[in-house]
Amino acid sequence: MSRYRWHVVPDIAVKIILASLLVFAGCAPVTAANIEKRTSQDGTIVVPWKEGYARYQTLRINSVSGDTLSRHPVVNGQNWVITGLSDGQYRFILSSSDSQTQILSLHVSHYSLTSAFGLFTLGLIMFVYLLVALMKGGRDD
Amino acid sequence: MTDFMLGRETALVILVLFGLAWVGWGWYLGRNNRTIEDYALAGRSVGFAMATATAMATWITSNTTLVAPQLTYQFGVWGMLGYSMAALGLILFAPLAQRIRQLLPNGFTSGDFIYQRYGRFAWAMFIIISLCYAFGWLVSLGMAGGLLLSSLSDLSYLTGMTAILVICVGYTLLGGLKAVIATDFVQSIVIITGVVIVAWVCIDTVGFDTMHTTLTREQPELLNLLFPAAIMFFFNNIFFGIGEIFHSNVWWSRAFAFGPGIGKKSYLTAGLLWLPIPVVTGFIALAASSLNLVPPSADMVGPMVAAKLLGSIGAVFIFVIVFSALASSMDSLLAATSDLLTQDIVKKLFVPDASSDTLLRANRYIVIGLGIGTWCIAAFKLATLGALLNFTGAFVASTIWPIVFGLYQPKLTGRWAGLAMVAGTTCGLIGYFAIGFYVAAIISCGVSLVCCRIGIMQSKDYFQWHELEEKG
Repeated sequence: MSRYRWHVVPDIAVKIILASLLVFAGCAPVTAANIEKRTSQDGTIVVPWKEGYARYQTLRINSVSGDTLSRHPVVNGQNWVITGLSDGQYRFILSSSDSQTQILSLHVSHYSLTSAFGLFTLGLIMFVYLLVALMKGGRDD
Repeated sequence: MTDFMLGRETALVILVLFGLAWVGWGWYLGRNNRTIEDYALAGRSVGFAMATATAMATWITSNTTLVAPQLTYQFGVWGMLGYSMAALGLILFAPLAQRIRQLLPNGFTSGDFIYQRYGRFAWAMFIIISLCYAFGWLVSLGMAGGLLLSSLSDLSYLTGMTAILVICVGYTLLGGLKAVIATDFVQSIVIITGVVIVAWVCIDTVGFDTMHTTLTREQPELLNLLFPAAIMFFFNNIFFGIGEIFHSNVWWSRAFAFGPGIGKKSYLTAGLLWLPIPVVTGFIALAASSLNLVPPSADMVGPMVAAKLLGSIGAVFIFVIVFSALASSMDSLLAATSDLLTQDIVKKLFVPDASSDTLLRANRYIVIGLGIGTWCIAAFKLATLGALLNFTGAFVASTIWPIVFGLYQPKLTGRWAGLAMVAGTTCGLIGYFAIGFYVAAIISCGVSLVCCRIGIMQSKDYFQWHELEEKG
């Protein structure tokens, strides 16, 4: 019994050491190392087409909790323009009947409403001023 | 090739039929053009119905049929409403059109006014801005032709782009402004009928409930009235539209071409009629996710949704509508830009004593040159339509205040008007690259206003309006 345990422990140790060496050698599993990280401030992202995508059938967009927000067909050679996403972290996963891979991790953080309303107010003031200038000019004309 | 695409032969047949019809009609209308005034300004006697139709049809462009859905797809409800506010450009230009006609009864171009009102420096800045805008718009129209064909048929982008350019250059060359206005009249009827049918089918097939449920789940920001980027975009688009119309010779040449007393009524009516059209064209983009469509480029969402809804007959239908929209803008832009180059560059800089025949010939060569130049740039397809158009927003919005103050405020001098255009454009471009395309016009317009106000405060000059008529 004890001899059996001695055989098991070294096996686990070997696996851990090998895995560590692989990580240090930069040979981590593809799904972890090849995920592109992107950010967006307007909830829009263009996912460009790449050669290897043709073997998948669906692009899935998952929230960080794993819920699937949407599924889109893979059309050979075509990008995906995804819009209207709220603040949050999203995972873009390509899947087929027998495999799946995460291709993108997106962090959406919209512009602050303060800066947006700042520009909106500037626009409104200028617009009112333009109306006044045109009406005054028209009256003097 | 997806299930709603047109076959190569069908697409080619439509292109050839379109080409023959428009070019033939252009030749028929232009056969009596004898002078540069006949060719460039349709004899300065265009009536109310034609004037209203051409103003509206010209403003229904690839922007309205392709970019309005794009902006709705990106900015949701705000994008749709913001785009429709571009009607304010036409509405606010109405009193200006009347004033322009009064001040320059024999004027030809917007450049004429800037030159006489502000002098050479401001004129040079204005011409550079006008040409940058005109090329940007022309290239975007050429690109839209290519995108349209490649999204609705299996013809290539280059084929579509080449076809729209050849057809529009052909009938503009043969018919001048008369052909442009007459074809615009027919095209506006086709476009309005078409977009209304598409929107009706969209509501009938997909339904509001389904659209709302899908958008809430998949694209919630599109329904969010506190969507920050869209809020930024709202007034940006308004000033972009106003800048486009206030400065562009497309609209000034019409103000000169319309009969006396027609301009104000026509522009006002055209603006009010145009207002709901982007809401209709933009609305269909909200159905994209319900139909499980994801466009490969944001500006293709409109045609893709329409074609999916209407099937193969719909693809033909959309093809005809968008092609009409493209043609109605491209012909106007070719005519107006060639006028601007003929009058402001050829006549002012190179041949001041040129005869009407010489100018007519020069104008026609310029139309051909513009077509070739546009093809060369559009072939590269450097940006999406929305991004390219809004890039030009940084240029045109800087001209709003110099134009308004030029027409109504006697104290603004040429030096400050020119500086306002340079500073506005520069800051707008910085905003475009540092923040996004949705702030370029508003920043440009704001900076230009500050420069103009400083100029007015410092100025001791007082411009006399009758000087314009004397010089004219």
